[in-house]
Amino acid sequence: MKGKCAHHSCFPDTTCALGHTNRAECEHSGGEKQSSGDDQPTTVWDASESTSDIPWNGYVMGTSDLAILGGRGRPAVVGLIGPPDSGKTSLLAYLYMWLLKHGTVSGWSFAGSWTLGGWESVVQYSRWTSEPPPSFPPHTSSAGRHPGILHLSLREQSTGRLRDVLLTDAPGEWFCQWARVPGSSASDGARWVIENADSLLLLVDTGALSNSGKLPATRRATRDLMERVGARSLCPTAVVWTKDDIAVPGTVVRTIETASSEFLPSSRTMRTTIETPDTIEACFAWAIDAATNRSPVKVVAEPRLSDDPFLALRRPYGRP
Amino acid sequence: MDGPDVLVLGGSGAGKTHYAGQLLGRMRHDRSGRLRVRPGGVDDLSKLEEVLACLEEGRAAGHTPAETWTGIRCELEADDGTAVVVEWPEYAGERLLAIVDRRMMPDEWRESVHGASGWLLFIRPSTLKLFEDLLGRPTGVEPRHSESATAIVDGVGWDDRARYVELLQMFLFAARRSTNELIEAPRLAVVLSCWDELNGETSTPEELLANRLPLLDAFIRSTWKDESWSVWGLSSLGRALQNDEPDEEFRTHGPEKFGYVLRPGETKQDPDLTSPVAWLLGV
Repeated sequence: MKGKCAHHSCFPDTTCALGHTNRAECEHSGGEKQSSGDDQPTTVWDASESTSDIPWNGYVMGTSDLAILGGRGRPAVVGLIGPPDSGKTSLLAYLYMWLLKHGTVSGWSFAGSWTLGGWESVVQYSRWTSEPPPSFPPHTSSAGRHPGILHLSLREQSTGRLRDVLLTDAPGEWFCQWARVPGSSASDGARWVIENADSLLLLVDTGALSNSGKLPATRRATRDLMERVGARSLCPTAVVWTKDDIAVPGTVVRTIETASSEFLPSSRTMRTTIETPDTIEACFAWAIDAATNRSPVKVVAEPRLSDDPFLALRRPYGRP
Repeated sequence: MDGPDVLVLGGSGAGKTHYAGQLLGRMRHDRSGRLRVRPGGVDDLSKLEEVLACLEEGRAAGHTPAETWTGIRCELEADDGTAVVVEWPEYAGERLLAIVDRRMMPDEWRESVHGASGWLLFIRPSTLKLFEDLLGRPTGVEPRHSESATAIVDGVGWDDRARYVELLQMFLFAARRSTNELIEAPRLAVVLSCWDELNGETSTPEELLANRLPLLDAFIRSTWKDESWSVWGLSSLGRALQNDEPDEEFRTHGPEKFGYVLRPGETKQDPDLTSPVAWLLGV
């Protein structure tokens, strides 16, 4: 026997959003009614089986799944942004491989995850199972409008406090589109990441910058993104040069560095390479610390733009 | 329920049934352990009939049938005279990991979780599914991006480091335990079973857990208070027995003369198989 639910937060593979063990008892249950044809989200479940006891399905979260985390405080959001193929998902895969091997990220101990299936899916291509040899994760699909969100619970070793950290895994095309037209409805997913992130890792694809064929588009996408992020985000940002073992012409490096210092003057520059996995750990350690307000943020001195006496009142009191 | 339940968590082939048989034998026939069965204190010996008979004959017991779900009620007493009644569960290991794979917690598990004062988690190190990856063994050449679409890996395909964490997370949720602060109850004893298969392993049980399953080790340390969890090495039989060919020495001396545990922090063998359960029950 099939039943339907019209509640916007209800999904068949987790618990009823309103807590009913038996979904048929929920007021949003439509019993055996057929779909009314309106645009209300409708979930179909098999009423002959009891509903899942577990409110997380284990795979990447969407934005509507985040309510289950809210009970213990606002999670810290680390946004990974960058052009397509800059290495966002690969960086996440290395973070999970690091945790599998070490259990900690620089002072934070692993304390659980409600997206372990999502993490396992991210690393599945990076494992020695059978032929072909391990590879980086495939390109993240740009289908859909909400970023995939991976969750970690981490306990700070020095204080014992528990923090939920969310890491976004969104396709690079979204960020390129957002950099071009931030208000576009096609940029919803990228906008969600930028608006909700507590720290940002903006990835610069060293591999693409070293390739003369890809250089123009990558340089443009990277600079556009830096400009938009600088204008629209106030959260701590690190510019991460991925694949740093690849040599890039000095003039190209200077171009990107100039854009970085102009548009993101408070940002930190980091470099990662899979040849030295510690660089990837350091990158996430910074992002997690920054997102959880542990790192001091460099304050930029505001330039004086006018000598108008009225504006002088904006000076801090007590200043001569 | 008259006494505390022990929630035994262990997958197929993790050694739960042999331990149950040996534990019962120890508690009935070897009075030197920390826990003893009061004479006549087991309600229904037939529930472990097969394993008890096999061990007496020096043979390994067969696989517990998939439909098995039963509890064995034992009246125990400790060294200091403390009386404890324990309901010891017996089930096929597939039923446990099916919870992770199917993401459903059947009623019998829900009831066991609510009644349990301690959890005994069986892990058999020699059969763990631990994948090697690019971090542990680079390809030596620049890895390419996979052309495949991202596929979702179901629970069966997970690395065991993640699978055991998910299992504990699900049981903690079912037990309604918040992990915001480190928890005291239920106590957790991690039992690394079939220690004799590890070929001269010289680590302590804690070191082995941290080396083989760092993710699980970090999860437990971040969830339980130090005094509320422990790791044990266990060899219920002390050696490998066959299903069809009796071990003459085992048969002659009796099963209670075989098997050992490694206590937390120790590398030497202790014949008292009851000590993990005694620790779990706080006696």
